[in-house]
Amino acid sequence: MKFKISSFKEPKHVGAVSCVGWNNTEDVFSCGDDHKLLKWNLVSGECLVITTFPEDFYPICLHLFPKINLGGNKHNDVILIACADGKFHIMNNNGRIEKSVNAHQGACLAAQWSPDGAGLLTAGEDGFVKIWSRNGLLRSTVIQSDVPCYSAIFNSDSSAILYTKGNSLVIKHLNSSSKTTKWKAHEGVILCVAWNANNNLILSGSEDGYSKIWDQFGQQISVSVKHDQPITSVSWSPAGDMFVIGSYNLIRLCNANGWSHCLERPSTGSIYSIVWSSDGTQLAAACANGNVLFAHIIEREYAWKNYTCTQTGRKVISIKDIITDQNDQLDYPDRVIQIALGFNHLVTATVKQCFIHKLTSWNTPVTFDLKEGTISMILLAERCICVIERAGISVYSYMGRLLASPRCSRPETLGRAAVSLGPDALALIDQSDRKIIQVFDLPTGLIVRSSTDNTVTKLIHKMTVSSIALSQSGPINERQIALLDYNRDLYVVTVKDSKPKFVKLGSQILSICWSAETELLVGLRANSAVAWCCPRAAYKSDWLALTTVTKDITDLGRNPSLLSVEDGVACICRGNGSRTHISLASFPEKLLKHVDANMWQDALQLCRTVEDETLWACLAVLAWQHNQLAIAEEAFALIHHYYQVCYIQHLRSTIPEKLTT
Amino acid sequence: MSYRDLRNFSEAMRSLGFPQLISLESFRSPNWPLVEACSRWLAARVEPDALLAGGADTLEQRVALVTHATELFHSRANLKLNGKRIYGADGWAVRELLKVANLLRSALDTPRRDDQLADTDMLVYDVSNRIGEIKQARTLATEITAQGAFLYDLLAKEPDNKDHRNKALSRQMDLSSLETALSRAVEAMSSRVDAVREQTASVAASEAALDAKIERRRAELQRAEKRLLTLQKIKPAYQSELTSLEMEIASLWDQYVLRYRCVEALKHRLSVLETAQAEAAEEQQAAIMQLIHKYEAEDVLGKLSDSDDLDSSDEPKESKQPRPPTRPKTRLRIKTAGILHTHTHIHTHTHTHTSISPDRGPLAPGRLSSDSGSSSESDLSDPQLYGGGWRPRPATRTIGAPGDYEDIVQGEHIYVPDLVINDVPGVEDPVQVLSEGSEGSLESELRLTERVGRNSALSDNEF
Repeated sequence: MKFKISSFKEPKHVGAVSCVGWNNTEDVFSCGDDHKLLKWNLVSGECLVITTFPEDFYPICLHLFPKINLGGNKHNDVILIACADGKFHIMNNNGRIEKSVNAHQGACLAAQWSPDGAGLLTAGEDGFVKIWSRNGLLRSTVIQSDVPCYSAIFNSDSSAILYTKGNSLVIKHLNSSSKTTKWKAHEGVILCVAWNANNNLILSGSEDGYSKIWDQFGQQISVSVKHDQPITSVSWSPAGDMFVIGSYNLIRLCNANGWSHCLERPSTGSIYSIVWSSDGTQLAAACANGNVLFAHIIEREYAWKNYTCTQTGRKVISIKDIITDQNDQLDYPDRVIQIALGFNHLVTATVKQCFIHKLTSWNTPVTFDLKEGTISMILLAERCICVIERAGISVYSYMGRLLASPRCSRPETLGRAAVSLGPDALALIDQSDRKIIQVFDLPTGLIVRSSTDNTVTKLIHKMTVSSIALSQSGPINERQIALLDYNRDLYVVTVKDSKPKFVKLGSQILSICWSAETELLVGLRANSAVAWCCPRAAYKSDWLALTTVTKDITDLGRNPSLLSVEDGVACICRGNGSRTHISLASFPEKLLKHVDANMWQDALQLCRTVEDETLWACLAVLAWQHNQLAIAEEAFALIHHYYQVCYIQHLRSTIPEKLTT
Repeated sequence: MSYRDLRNFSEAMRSLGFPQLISLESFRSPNWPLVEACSRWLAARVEPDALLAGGADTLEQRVALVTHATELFHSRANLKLNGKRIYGADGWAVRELLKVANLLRSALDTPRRDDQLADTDMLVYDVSNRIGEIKQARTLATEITAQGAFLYDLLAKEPDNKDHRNKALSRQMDLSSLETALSRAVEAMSSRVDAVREQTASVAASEAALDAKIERRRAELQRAEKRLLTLQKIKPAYQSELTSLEMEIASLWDQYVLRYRCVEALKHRLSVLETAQAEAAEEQQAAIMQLIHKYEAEDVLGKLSDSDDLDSSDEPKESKQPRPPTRPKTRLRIKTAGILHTHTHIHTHTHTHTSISPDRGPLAPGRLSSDSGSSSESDLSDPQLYGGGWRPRPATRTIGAPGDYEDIVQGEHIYVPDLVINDVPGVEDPVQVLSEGSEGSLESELRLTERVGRNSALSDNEF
């Protein structure tokens, strides 16, 4: 993954550019020391001067009103600019100043709309942080100090404010009962902070040349290498999977774990501000020498079985079949935003359309139009695709037909961990109360229902849920959902139970993944991988222990994640970004496949050939669950569960004559 | 305003390459050391030879430095700076110094951009030419050095040559001899010229010949290549047959492997079975030995009580014979059965049941009769008899129940335990054992053995 940087040949600004902001995914506003507000269009490559401000207007910070659906009343005054003279200005898209408020003594260094659009905050050189209403009326002065506050931001639900105070960071909760958190973060003055809504991590950049990642309690997650010059800007991508830092003549793209994807050294001077577009694929940067730098991310790589695809340009994807060595370039009319590869399909979303390529014949895609340009995620399952846009969530079949559109508030804040797609269900963590999991049934097969009568199942856990995963096989009545809660405990629930029972499988699990074809659940601990072959046996702890396979893995690094499980082989992304494949439970998965296909004789033969205790235990449990008493009897005998054998023999002997025939 | 100025100043100094970091917080409070460092550094950039007077220690030194700096910037860069503000060493000083920094920065920016453009253009335009030039220059340089060395050598020879020259100049000229020498030289030269001309002509001819040869060879090569192509295109005969045969062989190989594995597995099973049987037999033997001893003891007791009955018994054949000891009799009986079964057991390894049962018929009675007939003649020692007689006994079971054997083929385990269990009660009475052991097709044999058994029992009684 790396940047492709494109900057216009001649800088249109004279003097430094101090701030940029995305209007939508194509338009960028920029404002600089030459008092001009410019609008750049990336598609046509045009640059328009919107307006020229008076001579004493030196902008410091610009923020655009968040794109939220406020029920019709479209406000036009959306641009918030903070100035060096301590004022902030609210202006409309045409650059007409609607409101100017004298906010601070000295310069107003930071200004941000609250994520819900209810108000805004400003921070100034005088050390004050103030909250204002949408119309520019002072609501409260949150913080008063004698040290300039270089940056201040809201968290995702506007309930807390993070601000800088010299070389420490402070989180101030707006409801007064909670305590403020303050910690010393850097050796130098902190110049910039960012707080991601998805992973709730804080990023800070300082004059000492380090950028650091913190969690919301002030614990350090990772620290960058030392840069020669102060870090002048940091920015999370909207999905929270990577971030970018800007310094003097330097721009660096990093993974959320802190390691660097790529480093560019454009001769731009210091980069004062970096802003991601809402789709997370391109960014704009304000440079001290008058350039506005545009970069988009290319060479994102995806692999599934024997296919790999790489985005080689803005509109080009190269796809390759490794076995037949057949490769091809797919050209799209618009910029490619999201790519998903799996389940024998390649799904690509451009700005306007979504393309579904079958991997057997990728030259004839199925196409449908998207509602809006900002698509944040594509999920694939065996029979359907889920497309998450800002306008809502939609589920399509692989033929491009809309199956359902479940309701969800602010879908763009959903992270990868908070949503899971199964073959006939879609599960979401409720964004307002993260203890609730909503499971939407999707219409399958021939019955097409209207989008309104989708049944929703609500599961309520006792803790905040951090990650969910739906099982990918089996009938809908046995659909299971695995969830990791805040304590990193793994639970499994059968969705369709009348009284859902949360069965705990293990603790200290970092990442989970279901096998794509069977009910094999794989979890990752700090230095081992665990495969639960029969998660539904969890109500009996000895059965669970027997059917669990554990394999030690060293040097997984910090925050590793499971990418996929295929045929008992788990693909693990380590903390440093390298991928390893661990063969964990190939025989159990094979056994599960046999059982799914109702091929009990093959399953038995497999067990006899391999002669592994775990395998026999799996067979015993599965046969017991599928009422295959003869097989279960043999399997239980082989794992020395004689009381079970006796029980089965008793059952078989008492079956009435007419039932056996 | 101070934030922006500081930001721009630190940016400008950064791009100018000021080694120190200028923090945004540096000038919140008066910071004379940094102002001094900046102004000295900027002065050195404006005028490389300039060295600002004064220092940081006393008020006079600081004033001297500020005045010197303002003068220098005024004279060299045409910038009027406010000395009072610089002396303050706070945000206002930054604004003053920013003027100088901006001047230097704009100077840095403008030409560099042109240079870059020109450079990149040149670079793009004629990189290859430049490489050629470099080569040329290098060759020229080597040539020049070579010429220089040559010149040096010549100059070194100059003193000698000078003598020769002087000598030659001083000599008298003889015109006629000179003329003849010249004419000779001319002749020699003309002859050499002729020779060289001839050589060139011959070279042209040989060149033509070589060209022709090359052409011929090339044509040959082309032809050969064509032939190669055609040969490659032709599919060799028997190819299809070969592939089909290969496939057939592969399938046969698979079959062979499968069968081999099956045979091996069966062999393995069989060996396991044999060992199990051997163990069972030994146990039985031991048990029977005990029984025998028990009977003997009983017999000894019975002899004491039944001696009258023995005398009155009327069996001529038995009574005629020299009285054989009881033990060999018993042994003999056992042995006959045992040997018989050993043979049959061996057969099971090689043949199927159907092939065994017919040829057991003739064999068994012969064996039995001979053994019963020459029971006393048998010179086998006791242990041999015991060893050979009883061990393979269970094998009779194997043969007796063909169905069981089929089970073994199918890989069932039930056989062995079954056999053992059935056998245990049979040991109670040897006669009964034997009668149980022989079934159906072995009826004649059964009778024989029974007879022998009866005989022996009788003899026991007699004894």
